[in-house]
Amino acid sequence: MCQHAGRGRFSLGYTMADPGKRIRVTVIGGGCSALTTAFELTKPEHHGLYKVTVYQMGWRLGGKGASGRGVADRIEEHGLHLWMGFYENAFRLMRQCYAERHAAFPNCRFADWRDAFKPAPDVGVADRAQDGWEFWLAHFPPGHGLPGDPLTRDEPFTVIAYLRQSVMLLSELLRSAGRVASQDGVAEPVREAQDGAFAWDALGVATDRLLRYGQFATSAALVEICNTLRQSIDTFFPQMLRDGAELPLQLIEGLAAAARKQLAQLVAGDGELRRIWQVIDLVIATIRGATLCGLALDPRGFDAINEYDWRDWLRMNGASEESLDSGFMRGIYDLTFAFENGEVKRPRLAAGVALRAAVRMFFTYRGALFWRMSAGMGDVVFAPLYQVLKKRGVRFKFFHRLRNVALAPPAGDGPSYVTALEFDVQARVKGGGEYQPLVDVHGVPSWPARPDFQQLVNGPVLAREDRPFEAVWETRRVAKKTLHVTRDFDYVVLGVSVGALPAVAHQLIEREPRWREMVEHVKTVPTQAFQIWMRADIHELGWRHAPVNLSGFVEPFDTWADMSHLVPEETWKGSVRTIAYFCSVLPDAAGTGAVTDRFHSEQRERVRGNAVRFLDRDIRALWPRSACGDRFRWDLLTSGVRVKTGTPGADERRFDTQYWTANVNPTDRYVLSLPGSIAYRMSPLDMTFDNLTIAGDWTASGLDSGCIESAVMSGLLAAHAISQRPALEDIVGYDHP
Amino acid sequence: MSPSVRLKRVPLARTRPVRNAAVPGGRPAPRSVSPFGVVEAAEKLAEVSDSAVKGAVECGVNTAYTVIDEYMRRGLEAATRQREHARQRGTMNDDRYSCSNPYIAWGPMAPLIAPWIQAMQAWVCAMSAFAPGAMYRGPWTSYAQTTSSPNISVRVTSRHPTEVTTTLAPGADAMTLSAAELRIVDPAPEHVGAPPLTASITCGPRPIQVSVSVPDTQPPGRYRGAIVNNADGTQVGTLLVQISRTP
Repeated sequence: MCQHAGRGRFSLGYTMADPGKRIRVTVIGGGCSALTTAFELTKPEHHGLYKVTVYQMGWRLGGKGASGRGVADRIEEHGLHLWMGFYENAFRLMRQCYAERHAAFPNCRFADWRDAFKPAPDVGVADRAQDGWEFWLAHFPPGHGLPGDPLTRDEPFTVIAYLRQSVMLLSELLRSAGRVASQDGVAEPVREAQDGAFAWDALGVATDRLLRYGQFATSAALVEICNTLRQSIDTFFPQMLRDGAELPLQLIEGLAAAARKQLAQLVAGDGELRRIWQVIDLVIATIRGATLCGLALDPRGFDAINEYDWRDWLRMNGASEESLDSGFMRGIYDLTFAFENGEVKRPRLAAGVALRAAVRMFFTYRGALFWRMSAGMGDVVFAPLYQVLKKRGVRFKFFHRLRNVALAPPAGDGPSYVTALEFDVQARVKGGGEYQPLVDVHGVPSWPARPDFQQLVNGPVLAREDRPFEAVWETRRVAKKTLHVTRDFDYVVLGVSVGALPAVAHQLIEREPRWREMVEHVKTVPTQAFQIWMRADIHELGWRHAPVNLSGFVEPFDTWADMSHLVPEETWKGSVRTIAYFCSVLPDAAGTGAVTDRFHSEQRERVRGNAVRFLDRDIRALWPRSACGDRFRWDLLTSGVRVKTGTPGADERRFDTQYWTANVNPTDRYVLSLPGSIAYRMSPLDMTFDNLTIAGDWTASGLDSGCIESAVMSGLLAAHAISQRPALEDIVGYDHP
Repeated sequence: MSPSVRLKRVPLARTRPVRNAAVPGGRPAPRSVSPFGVVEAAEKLAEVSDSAVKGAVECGVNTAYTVIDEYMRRGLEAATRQREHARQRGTMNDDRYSCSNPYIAWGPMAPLIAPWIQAMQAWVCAMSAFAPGAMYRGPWTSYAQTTSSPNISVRVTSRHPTEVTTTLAPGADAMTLSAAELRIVDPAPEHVGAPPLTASITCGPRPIQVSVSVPDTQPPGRYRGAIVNNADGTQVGTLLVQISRTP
């Protein structure tokens, strides 16, 4: 049993600031970003200067990362959440949080962050083949160190370092292609390239010599090209800038021509070799584009190409259509739900944001390319944050829904400010105390999927209604509450999602054109997800490979993750052997206005239908033995509720015992990084309103994408906006090309 | 705080990331060591996006500013290290940078002098860039001109007339190096398949010592091999051995 907040031993470790001089900060929203701000502002080095109160609608924290424990303690997520090995700020936050929690609650399981996060080095993409699907599975070797380790000065966050690594990757890919081809007797084995020369003139000579190599006909010649290119980048980068990039461009063009030729020959050929050449083609296009666009010295960094879609930009720089439609590329779009209005025929992702994320993802990951959590995201991330923040003295006001942010009347040219925050109180806690949100599951403090109605006034009635406190249409209240500036708060951190802004921040949007433009241009998209629990293990279902996270699969569910490692964290008593999560974007229903109860029910039914059809029709491509005739074996599903074979409950209706979600609430929708939209994002550092800052993955975080790292970076920026801490230079990757 | 006092956020020194890739490591100099207000100036320049002087001038000045900022930081760090060295708390030669780092020019002792000279050159370059129609001539050029190659001593054991040429990237003397096998280049038909030569490299204290031993039976010809930084396996130089026919 684990001690929860309020019962552990803990020392603040510092002398609290004079209560009369404490600065009161109201944090609205309990998502990753908002809680990061609360965490930073209550660090010991502030000596208690900031008195933080978090207002959260409903019963749990986490925003789009919230999860809940349902039947048999099963974990029910908003969607699939994976952490990438380059999430330096997010991992650093977690490492600090876990260390502090363990000091206060030594009996909690997941004592160390490494108990809560496990490497997931196996990644897959699905590729269409003539007779079905091919799966390209990659095992990424451990990266140096662990995410969140102190950075060394050699961290390669420069364009020149990325270019160099790209060329080295090219060399390795070419060697791989040579090895694969030689196995088939197609091409000669790759020989080691000659060492290049270092004189600028000699580089020109070497280029001429290589260009005469029969149009780069051999793998050995291509590897030598890469070697020469790398040396030219290493040694002559400044000179190349001054004298022009013609020599390296000649080499790049030669490589590109060879890649196109190889791809043309391999369209219907060997799958593995074709995929290697597709990646080679994409890497060459990236190197060519970065060189031609002058990204190395552009003051805007990669933002210089954010007006383009990622695919369009690669196409402009020579990538072939086949490479652009490869599983590799589709996987990137799938993982980021990068489809405007949720339409899979409209893939749209800002090129600069994509390039930044791609180089960080592949070249700077540490420990593992992906990390997965050992329990629900709520349990692994937000429960420890809640416990630590509570111990630091942060107050949590659950069941408070923000209704309006009120501004002072316009006065002169100076910044305006927030005068009042108006809330609806959704429920009252018996006895007037603070709601206790966590439950214990096998020693892990966890969030329940439903509120603990017993703690609430009028709880039995609310329980019978199963009142959906998190739904946008649920506007019933037991009271109103208004906080006033100077009386109740000094600063505001607005940590709600961008989708909620039109409803709660209309005064700000009407007052400030930049806010209006941001709300118009920073778009979101609904997502859909389902989780199933099965009696058979993954190999019995016919999957022959390692547990994997796989993207690029067929719509309507293009991404699958094997989450069977969670079985012991739930309470199945041996009845479940495989857990699988699926997710995808959900096309925006045409002509929808406000999200209502009815609309939400319709969308849930839509997702259910998608999932049932997907399991019946498509899943056999992944799990050949999951089908019986032309139907999915519905009896594989289990829920802890006994269903007799032969009854209607044994057919597809058994799916109703599983978990699925239609994320159509404005606060649940995924934030897109559309081409042409990034410049409209506002920074938490913005001073338009002098007592308010914003936090969320929809802000200008530096990473500018919808992910945990972006949310944490935004939260750090919001803390900086109030306290000038942390230093911007200490936010890893903020000052990044 | 007192209920009657409304607090306002402090205006921030900067409100956007520094995207200029010339800043190594994405970690520009801390503000506290930047008396020139480098970052603010760069930001102001970045804001004149519609200005006629955007482009070469902006790029040039921005780069110059960040270079100066880096010089400042290096200088202060070097001074700190020197103090720590004097107190026997550290070493002077742990300032090792990647070959890909354009600031690699100076060795452990140089930061005290070279940055200031080059900072002045950078300022001159930046100011000249303001002239209408001027093309940016960044500090890289001056950097390259003022760079000295690492000191190398070569020991050859051979009964044949032998000429050894080495090329090392600036800053390689701060690395731990090794030599790959030297393979024959463009061999005469009778010498195809000649066994490779081996060389050894001893690093620090200066100069770098390269030792090549040529067996008596080694076929004549040009042999070439890479000099590699042991830390990350990158090639930082070349070793070329020319063996002439035995007289």
